[in-house]
Amino acid sequence: MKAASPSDERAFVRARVVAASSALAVLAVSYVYAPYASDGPIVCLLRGLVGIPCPSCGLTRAFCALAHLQVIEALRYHALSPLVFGAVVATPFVAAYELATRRAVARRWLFSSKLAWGLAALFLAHHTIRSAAWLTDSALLQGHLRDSWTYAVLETLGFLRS
Amino acid sequence: MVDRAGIPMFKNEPVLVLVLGFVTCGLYLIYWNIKMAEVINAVSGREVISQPIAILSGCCMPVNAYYFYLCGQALEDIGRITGKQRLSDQSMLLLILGIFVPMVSAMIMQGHVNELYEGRVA
Repeated sequence: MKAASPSDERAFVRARVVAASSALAVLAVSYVYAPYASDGPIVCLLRGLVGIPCPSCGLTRAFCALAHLQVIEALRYHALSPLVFGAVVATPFVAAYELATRRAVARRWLFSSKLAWGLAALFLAHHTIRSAAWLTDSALLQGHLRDSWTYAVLETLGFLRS
Repeated sequence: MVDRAGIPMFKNEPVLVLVLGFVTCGLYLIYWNIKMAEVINAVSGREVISQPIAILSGCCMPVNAYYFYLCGQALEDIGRITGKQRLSDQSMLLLILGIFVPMVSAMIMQGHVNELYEGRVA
């Protein structure tokens, strides 16, 4: 798609510059934050409140591992992380290509309903399988629930034995 | 002017968004993000939110906050369609709530989107 007016042209360039810069920022933060990732605070509301990880829990740690090329470690944190990380790595290149050719080649993927539902199905399957695994190896009860904010509050108030 | 009948149906009790979000361990919010992106795109009459990115927005707090920022911007369009001109751009509010309590942002959006279907049979 060709940009038409000067304002369209500006919006076209701005969108690609923002996308590329954001992706590079994510990669830089992933690289720098890696040493602190496994001991970092819980920022997931679901995991914090009820102790159950959400479908995307583990991606921060996985991104940090991938930024240091530790693929096996990343897969342990989140099996879909290489897919998401790959998309982030590809973003600056795609943006540069689009700026050079003035063609919005990624648009059909970005606004594809089929891709969206496909990704949703993938996350659903992944989360179901790993939740089942956590239940069977007691990681959910022994690890995640004990790490939650609610557990910490109840423990502090003396409702639970440490 | 966007045709009200052409807006995809996505009516829910706002509190149900919160409950289902927790009960399904966040899986419902993936579905919610896709459907809300579909509604926002239809309401705005252009492609504002990418659905594949909407799914991944839950994976990254800044992206999620930006998702709700875009949702907040669409409130003016919703107000125009529903005839509630007082409904203004609440992008900053939804952005801030999106950072700390995304489920509350989702509930607010769901409440406003429900107004689109008042008097419409599902």
